[in-house]
Amino acid sequence: MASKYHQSAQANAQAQLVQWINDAGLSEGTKRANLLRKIMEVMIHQAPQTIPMYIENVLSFVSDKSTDVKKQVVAFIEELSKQFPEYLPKIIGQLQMLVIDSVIAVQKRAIQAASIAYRNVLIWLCKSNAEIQEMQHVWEHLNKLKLLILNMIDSENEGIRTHSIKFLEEVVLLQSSSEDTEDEFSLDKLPAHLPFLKRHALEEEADGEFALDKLPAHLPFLKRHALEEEAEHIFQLLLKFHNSQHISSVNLMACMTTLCLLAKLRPKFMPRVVQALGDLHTTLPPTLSQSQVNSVRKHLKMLLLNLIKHPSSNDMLPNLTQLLADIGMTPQEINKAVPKDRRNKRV
Amino acid sequence: MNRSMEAHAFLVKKGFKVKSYGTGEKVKLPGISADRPNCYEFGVPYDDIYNDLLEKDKAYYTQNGLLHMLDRNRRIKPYPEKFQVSAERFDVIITCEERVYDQVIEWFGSRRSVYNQPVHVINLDIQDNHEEATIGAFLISDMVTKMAQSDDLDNDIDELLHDFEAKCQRPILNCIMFY
Repeated sequence: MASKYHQSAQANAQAQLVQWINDAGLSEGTKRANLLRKIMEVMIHQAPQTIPMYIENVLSFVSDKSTDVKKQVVAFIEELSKQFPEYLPKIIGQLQMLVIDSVIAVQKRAIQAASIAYRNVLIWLCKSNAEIQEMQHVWEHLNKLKLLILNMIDSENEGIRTHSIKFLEEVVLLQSSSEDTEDEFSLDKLPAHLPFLKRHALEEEADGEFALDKLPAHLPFLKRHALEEEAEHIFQLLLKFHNSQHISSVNLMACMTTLCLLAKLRPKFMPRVVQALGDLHTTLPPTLSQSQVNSVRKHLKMLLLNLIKHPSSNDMLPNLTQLLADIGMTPQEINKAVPKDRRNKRV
Repeated sequence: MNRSMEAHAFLVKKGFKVKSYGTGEKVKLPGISADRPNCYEFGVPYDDIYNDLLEKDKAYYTQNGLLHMLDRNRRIKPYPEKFQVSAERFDVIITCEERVYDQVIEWFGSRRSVYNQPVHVINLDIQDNHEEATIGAFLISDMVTKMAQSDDLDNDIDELLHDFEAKCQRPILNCIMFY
């Protein structure tokens, strides 16, 4: 009975899809975008068996004249990369086209989706049984896409720059390893007396995450060392961007946040990040207005406090303390910000 | 509950898609004495808060405008909401006090972004009284209208806020964070 009901629900979903796809072909603009939203919802969440049948219909809107429609195609690609990565070989080329679309709003949405897809491609490469040629095809497209976005950090459009910073943050994180510090959590440290903490369940959950040491050995085009070198190069590029004199206040703050996140999650970057923040404090870009200076200084304080609370900043505690004192915090305030267990270790 | 709701009401009337939130632990309203505020959990309906104050001291809370404010609020939405537990994603977040701006950026700063979707966070200082809330709502509406008129806000925001600040003669703080 249940199966009969299931079959009829599926048939209904499929009939509805066909109707919407036809309607989408006949409409345009916002109406077409709204139909695509519904089509995407049903295809991905209700009737995934219809994806191979209709994927091309949705992707064919990649060069639509409406911004909303193209943004909807981006959303479809992003969601597919997450839920059904086996379609990556079909969608990666379209994503690349959308990243260089003529409309800025589409480009920004596509860069945002690319940062999500980047992670999903790496997870897929680690787990998939697809043909090596297919994997290589996806990887090569992804690399071209990365190169395109890498150059966009110098775009004339500030929003494109903002989105590129965030994309590059994701690339650096994915392509560098998190060294296991003694303060960090590891599964081996799980206490045995807590029945609600199950190692197996946590391991399964972590399986969905990507880490460099999960890179499969049989894919000749994926070289860990080269990826790490590239991450280092991009990190330096972000530092350079952060230190440039004609950066807008919004992008400066976006870049500061990105560098601090990288320092927290990849402690090897911490000394250079603290150095960069210190340099920024002494020489702010001359183009900023007084309010922008206030915003940047406030942002700097928030980020420094965030860093000082993080275990990976242990070795940099004296520098961070000095910096916080330089921006006007009293020793009492600084001491309060440092976690109790680390106060004694202060130099 | 005062400044943000005044602006919320004003922006809704102008057709903007808007929501309003508190950022503190609890909803705090002035009490009979300064050291005994009236505190409520987020999610307690404005109706209940209204009736509670009505019962406690109708004359006092009518005279200080709290009952009037709650009456306005319950016409806008059913209950106060907390920003940090909201699952919604916005294009722009406006705060009316530096302390609240700090709490908002602190919240964003303490978590990893999932969608890499940017949001502009902007603070415009508005004193917490009835008259200033009305003026503040006008200013916010003015600023938001200019934002809505921009074809590319991410590209224009620095200049737009700079110009607006010169016009309204109030210091503005802003930054970009990510969902």
